Amino acid sequence: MALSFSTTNKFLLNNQQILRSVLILSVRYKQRGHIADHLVEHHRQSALGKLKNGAAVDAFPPKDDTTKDLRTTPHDFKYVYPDFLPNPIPYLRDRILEKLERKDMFRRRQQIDIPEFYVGSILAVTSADPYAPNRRHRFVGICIQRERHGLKHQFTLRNIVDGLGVEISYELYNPTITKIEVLKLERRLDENLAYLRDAPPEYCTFPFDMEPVKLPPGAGVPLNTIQVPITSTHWQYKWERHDLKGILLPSLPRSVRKAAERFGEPWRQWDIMRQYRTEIHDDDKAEIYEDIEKHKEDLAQYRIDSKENVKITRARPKAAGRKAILDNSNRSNMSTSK
Amino acid sequence: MNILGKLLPTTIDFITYRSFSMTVPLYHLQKVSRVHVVDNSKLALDGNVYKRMPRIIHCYKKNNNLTRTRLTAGLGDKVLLAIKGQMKKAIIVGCQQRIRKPNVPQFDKNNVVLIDDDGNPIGTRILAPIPAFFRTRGDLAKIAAIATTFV
Repeated sequence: MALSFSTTNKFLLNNQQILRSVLILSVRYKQRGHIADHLVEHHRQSALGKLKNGAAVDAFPPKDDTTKDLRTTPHDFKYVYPDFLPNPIPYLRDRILEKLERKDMFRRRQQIDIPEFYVGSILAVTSADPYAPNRRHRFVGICIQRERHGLKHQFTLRNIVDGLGVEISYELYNPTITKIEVLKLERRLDENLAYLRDAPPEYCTFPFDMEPVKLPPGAGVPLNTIQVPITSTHWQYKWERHDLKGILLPSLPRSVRKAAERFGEPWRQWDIMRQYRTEIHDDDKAEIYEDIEKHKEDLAQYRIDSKENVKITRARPKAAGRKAILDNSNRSNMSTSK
Repeated sequence: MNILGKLLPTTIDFITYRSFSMTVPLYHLQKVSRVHVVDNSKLALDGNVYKRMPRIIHCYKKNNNLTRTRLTAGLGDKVLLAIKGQMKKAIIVGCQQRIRKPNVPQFDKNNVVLIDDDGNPIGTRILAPIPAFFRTRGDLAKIAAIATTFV
């Protein structure tokens, strides 16, 4: 599934969606013989539809092969560096800006190690806080979403502190962030874990002094196939309407289930044009990949040349304290007096 | 869908081609918003179990241009609460609204700390985590002083 970040909220039926549905209905009213989408789908799945259409009805997309080992994630850069992917909408792109931002992103990556992480990984972020006792503010949490493209790339961490759920959104390239550690690297079945807000607290509680979980070298990113139950009485969004694989929904009334089916638009899984529109063109990807490879080489060279490795030899002796200076001046006075 | 794309304004394209986003809607606090008081003062403990939840009845927010922002309140703002039949000032210590500023947290509940007219908190302890930026602002220093955990 393509990773896509956007700012419209599909969970809410906002004015834009209402407007859209009204306008579509008004246009379709003029188109004769049009049948509503959910009715088409209903008939397609019916026995009569099968008889009439034959084999096409059975051509559903292959179900998830449970025997296939889903433990490793493809190590394609679009999964490892999703911040470098541009906006899939072409008229919102500015290629010069992207190139300049990429340059800045590589420069920042020279300063601190920005690790590979996914939605569902547990991170600890240390940022500079001038008013904290030790000048640092550390927050541990599970990454519930990653959004925005380029330098503005953000990720949100969630944790339950003293019984209160807290979410902090960090910009990945914010210079006040001093350290990003991945305490537990793993993936989840969904790309957005906002449903954890309506889940029991034990699913998003992580101790601040959590030890990092080390994976064996060469292992892929493990996939956590946990199914989080939604136990809250008031849901923030209608979780049953979105194809969320990592949740365990309670038994819902028939009307709710039917509405969810209609909302889901099951024919979208065959909408290859829609998928095409969310993907990035191969030429753009190749350009970005080239830049990343170059950055990796530069990074290796930078680490060799960095201050930590080069021993600084002092030209002058180290500046002495006040007492040493006084002793020296006394000695020189004494010597001159003699 | 393409035909529609030409007829309709460009905002519709966002819905047609973009997949869903889970950014949280505006959960700012305003008049009539119900809040939870996280003090250990007597009024707070009684007010939380009273027949009506403590409610905001006024937001003290200076704004030069008379826009909507003065009708809403967020983290660190002073508000007037109706709690247990009486009016009391308070400072918002936890808000469900998502603020797109670095290191500003978002909480699951709307929390509030009672203060008197001088700005001194009435209680002696705060029973919930407080945003770390409370230490930076001078007017919130008194609340930061009695806080236990900073987030």
